[in-house]
Amino acid sequence: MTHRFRPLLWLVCLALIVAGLLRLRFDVEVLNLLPGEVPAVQGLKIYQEHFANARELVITIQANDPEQAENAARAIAERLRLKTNLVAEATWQPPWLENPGQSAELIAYLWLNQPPQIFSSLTNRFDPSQLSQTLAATREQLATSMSPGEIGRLSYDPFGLTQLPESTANAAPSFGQGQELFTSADGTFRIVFVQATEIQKSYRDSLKWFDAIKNIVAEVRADQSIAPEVQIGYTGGPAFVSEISSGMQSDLTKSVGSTVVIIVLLFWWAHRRFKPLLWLLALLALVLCGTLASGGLIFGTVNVVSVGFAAILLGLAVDYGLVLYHEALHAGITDFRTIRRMLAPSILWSAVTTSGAFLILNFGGLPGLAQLGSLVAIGVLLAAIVMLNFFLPPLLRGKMPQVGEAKEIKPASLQTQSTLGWIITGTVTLAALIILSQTRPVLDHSTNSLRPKSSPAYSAMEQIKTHLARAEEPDWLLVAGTNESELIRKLEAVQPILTGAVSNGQLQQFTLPLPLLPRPENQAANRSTAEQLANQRDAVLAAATSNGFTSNSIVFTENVFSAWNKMADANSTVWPTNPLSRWIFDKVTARDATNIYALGLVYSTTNSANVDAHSWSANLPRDGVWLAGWSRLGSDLLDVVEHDFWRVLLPMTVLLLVSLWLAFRRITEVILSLATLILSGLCLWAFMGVLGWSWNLLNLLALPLLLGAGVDYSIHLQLALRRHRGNISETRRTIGRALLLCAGTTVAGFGSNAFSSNAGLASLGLVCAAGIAFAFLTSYFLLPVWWKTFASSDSTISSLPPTEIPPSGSAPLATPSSLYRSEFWRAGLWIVRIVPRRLCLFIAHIFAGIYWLLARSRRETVIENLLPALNHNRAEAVRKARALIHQFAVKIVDLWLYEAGAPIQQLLGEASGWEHFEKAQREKRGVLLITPHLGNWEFGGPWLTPRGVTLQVITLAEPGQTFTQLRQASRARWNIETLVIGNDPFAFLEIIKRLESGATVALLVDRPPPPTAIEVELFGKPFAASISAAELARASGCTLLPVYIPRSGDAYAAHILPPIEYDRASLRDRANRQKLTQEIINAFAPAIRQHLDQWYHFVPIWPPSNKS
Amino acid sequence: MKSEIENLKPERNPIAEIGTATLASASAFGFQSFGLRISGIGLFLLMAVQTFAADSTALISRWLNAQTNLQTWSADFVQTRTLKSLAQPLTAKGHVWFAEPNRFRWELGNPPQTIAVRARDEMLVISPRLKHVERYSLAENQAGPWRDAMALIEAGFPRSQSDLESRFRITAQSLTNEVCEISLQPKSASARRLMPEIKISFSTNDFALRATELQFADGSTMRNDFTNAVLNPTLDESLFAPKIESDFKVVEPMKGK
Repeated sequence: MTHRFRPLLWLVCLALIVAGLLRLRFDVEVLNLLPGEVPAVQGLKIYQEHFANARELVITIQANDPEQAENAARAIAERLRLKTNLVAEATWQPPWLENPGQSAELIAYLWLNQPPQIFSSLTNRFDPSQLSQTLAATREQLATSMSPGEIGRLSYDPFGLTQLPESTANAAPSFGQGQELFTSADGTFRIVFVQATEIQKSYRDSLKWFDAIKNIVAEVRADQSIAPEVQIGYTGGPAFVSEISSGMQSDLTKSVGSTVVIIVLLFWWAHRRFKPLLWLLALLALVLCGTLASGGLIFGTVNVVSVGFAAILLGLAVDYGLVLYHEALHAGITDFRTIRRMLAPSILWSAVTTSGAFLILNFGGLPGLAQLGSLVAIGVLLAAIVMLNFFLPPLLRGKMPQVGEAKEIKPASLQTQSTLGWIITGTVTLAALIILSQTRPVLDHSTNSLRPKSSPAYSAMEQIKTHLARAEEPDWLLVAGTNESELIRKLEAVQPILTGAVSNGQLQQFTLPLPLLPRPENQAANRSTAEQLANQRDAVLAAATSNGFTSNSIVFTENVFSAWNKMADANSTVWPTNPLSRWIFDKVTARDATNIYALGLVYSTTNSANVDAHSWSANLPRDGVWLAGWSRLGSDLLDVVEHDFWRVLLPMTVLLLVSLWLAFRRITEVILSLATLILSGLCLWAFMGVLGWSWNLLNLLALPLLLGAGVDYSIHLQLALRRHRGNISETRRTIGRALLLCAGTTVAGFGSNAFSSNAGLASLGLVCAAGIAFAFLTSYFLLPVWWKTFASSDSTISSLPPTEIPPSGSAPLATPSSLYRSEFWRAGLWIVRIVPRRLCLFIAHIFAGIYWLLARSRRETVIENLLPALNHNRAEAVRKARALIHQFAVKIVDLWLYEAGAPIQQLLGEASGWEHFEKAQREKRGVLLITPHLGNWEFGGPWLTPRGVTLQVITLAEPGQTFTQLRQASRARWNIETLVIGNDPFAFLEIIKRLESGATVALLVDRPPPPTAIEVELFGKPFAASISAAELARASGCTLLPVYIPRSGDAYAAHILPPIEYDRASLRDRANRQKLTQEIINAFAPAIRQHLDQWYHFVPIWPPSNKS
Repeated sequence: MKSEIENLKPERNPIAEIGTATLASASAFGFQSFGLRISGIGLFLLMAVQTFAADSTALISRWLNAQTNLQTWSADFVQTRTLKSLAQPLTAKGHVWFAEPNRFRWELGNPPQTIAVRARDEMLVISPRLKHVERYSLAENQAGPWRDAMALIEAGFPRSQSDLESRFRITAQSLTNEVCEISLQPKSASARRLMPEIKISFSTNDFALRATELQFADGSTMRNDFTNAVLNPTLDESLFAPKIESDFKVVEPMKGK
């Protein structure tokens, strides 16, 4: 990126951030956290979206006596009704008590819905000849009845119209129980339903409306219409929305605030410097802002659980800054590019793995948690980029504080540490097992984890349940139909299933709104009867008056007749429309553009031990029927989470094992890391048991997160132990503080969600924080002891100097890849025999791509090796290194073909300089073909053999005796003899002898073994080359012919350079042999530079002191 | 017309009851009428007042003292109901039995159209013609306005003037032809909402109960004029434990309230 474009880039970034933040919305709908494909969730969403109950604010009033409660309810309702700009309706008692006249429409409607033969029977009742007799009977009943209901009814319904046919009346009374209860049995508890004038579009609107209502209630209280001791609560949709949205804001502030405080404290404890601390906080704010903006751009809406991402992100993001700062301090490097180059691979690789772990939450089945995972993943990647590029530059402009010299590494007091460590290991394990045998965290099947932790709105709801409704919550049966007839058909199909479930004891009872729903066919058939009855209105009313009934007593009858008159004229299906009817119907029916919905209530048996209790629901039709309810949602969701849990855990485990293998490449250390995780898990389990925590829908997903995040400490510790050759004290002294800082901030990030108002997020935060803490403590205190016992005796570790102990985090690698081994080589030889070359090359390229991505240390080594040849142009080096990996993959395939004995003549391309070889042969003083690790040098054999030359190859021993033998055998097929140079000083004598007899011997001159290495210069840098060629020249007087065989197009071209001339006598002097070696290297330099992407060195080739 | 109805709204009015009853029977929302209070409480109040009525005056005190001898009691009565829905009052004849401390049986109509029986924990309203029984629980754990109203009356059978005055205010007192009529107003607002006033008439010569009149919140009244009263007759226990035939339909209108 040139400087010209930087301002433009910044502008684009700024625009994106602003656009993202402007687009960002907070979603407070808890149901949106849940998987939409679960029928229970679908049902709940339909209920929330369409049914009035879900949108009503409910005010609860608790008083010492019924009068206080009633007065308060009335006063609140009456005041709210005056606020017509805010409140459409405030209902404090059954509407039919306040507006009894309105019940006539409903009764008329219910009669109209009756089958024609029943409705037409009314014509007999209202026959003029029967009227007097009917009214006399009513008077007799009124005189003698002691039934209060009967007296009340007949006084104002002298014709008994409210006595509906049994089919309707029987079904009706049980329906809707609990819906209409406004007061507790003792009258001291009351509720007021409040409907907003308009539906609130956003949570901010809802919050504003809710505050306005609360202010009005406060005014009523201030007017002393409400006694001071009366307690008022709020619940229902608007209260929940308001509470959750305020909770989200508060959560964000509290969790972020507490994490920042801990970051500040830990940083201050470690470094005591203001400038880097402030700059770190500024960048964290930028990362947070950028992530929120990304959330806005990608998702648009951030849900209630996702808000918890912020603190988690801060806890993780700060690690990168800490690592960079720590490294800059300890290395004393003031060039930030150098530090970035050193740490970029490890930070980016760590960011990719952490992001991967969080992205895997997308497989967890819970959209809410998936979004949190995605946001953290985005944030972590952003943090890595921001910290790598912007954290150090302003800090390195000034003088960096110096860190004191490291103390001399002293041998650890092994025995004491080991004994203590094993005692602690045993004690902790035993204690955890004992605790787990007594108490274990249970799996919470409820939906409590989706609810606010402490919620006045839920408390108010619980109060309502306690005072007004039955103890158990009903499930909702939602049925949808495109029209009334279809809806009724579906309800009638459901009814026998429910009846059967009641008979089987699976349900206590159920209610369906069938008696209330309009029956289009009955209504159509009854219209003429309704008209006929309406025409008798005057006669009926006159008869009532003449029989002693006052005008007030016949108002109801009159209204019923008027309603029939109206309904008789209707052209379409009649629904009652007055406020009272709407109040009732809105609770059990709803409609949108395409469907009519009906709500039924299903009461399950309380015997939860009955495993078949829910089996009846399997018989429900799938189409347009949903069984929903908070009580059953928990088990349904847990099924989803349990099912998807493995989809999260398995990839996470694979990711973990791959990471561990790439980090260690030793099974012992991989096992030790796993052991650390197991003991941490055991401790966490016991800790949860002791504290009475339970697993729930959300915190169950802490397990994969802990696998991903918790394993880091064991990796860092074991690699540090390698670097310090098992010195535990030194390891803890150097890396301990850094790890403590990282663990502290991560624990703070997760732990700060403990303050979240959402119970699930709080529990997820706590479990993750505890898990991370246990992982750190186990790694820090116990793992070193285990490592000393099981891993320190490994010969690979003990045989290497501290600087070459493989692999050491981001440090270059000093040994060949573990993939270079006989098992893989044999497999390769077998594969190329049966798989066509083209397909092999395709697979090899894929493998090369993966290797490039995963093997970050090896990749960095290759890049470092190429830098001097490219004048330290890193971008070019990266490009060349990437090409090199792919070239090498092709070379390996072709090499396998060659060693497998396949014909490879088509792979041998043009040649040059053959005349030099012929001339050398004619001189009969032996030919030493010298070559660097450039191109496919092994193809020298097959290239020379057809020309009648028998080649002898000098090699080092391969990793393992078997491998050496394998390769020897392969070359022998081509009549090539392998001369293995190990530590045997007499091996060279044999080679000299052969050269003296005129043989052609091949020798690699770069990357020599230590005994033959001397320092020359290549690309202006000190370079280790083999002095063997000069030694052999001195000893045998052979011709030195530089050769290289690069891949060019689809074939390998052999190039023989002019011989390197020398004065044999002068070679007695080591300085001249060194000079000759320099000449040899100089001869190759142009070819190497030309074919840099085939200069195959996967271990560091430049001396460590000059690396940077 | 609607406004006329709403003009009728007292704190508890029969039109409200019809609204309730309407939906109870028709639409489903199971709301039962509070009208139970109108007659049920009225009936019981009659008995209660009969027992504890007291007065600040000597006359009332003497009447109260005379009641201490009452163990059982029976009488014929004529019940006159003045309902707001009817232009003319309705009358019906019947018989009543009472036994200490609070049991009673009312039979209304001849043959009985309605029988109301109060046992220890419940009250039954039986309609023999309709083979229908309404059961109202009066158990201690049965809460609610209904129980509270009953408790208001039952809780303190006042044995003294102060006890009476803690629950009622005597608003009027008259003496006509050796019949004393006192008007009582419940002190409790909730009880007053049900029944603003109770009138009790007794003879000043033998302190026998002559009449009761209950006035309800909507202005309706129910008056019982007693004749042929017998003090401490021997009563069959089965009077207060009626046998319900198997073909009778029993409902509990207040259950769950």
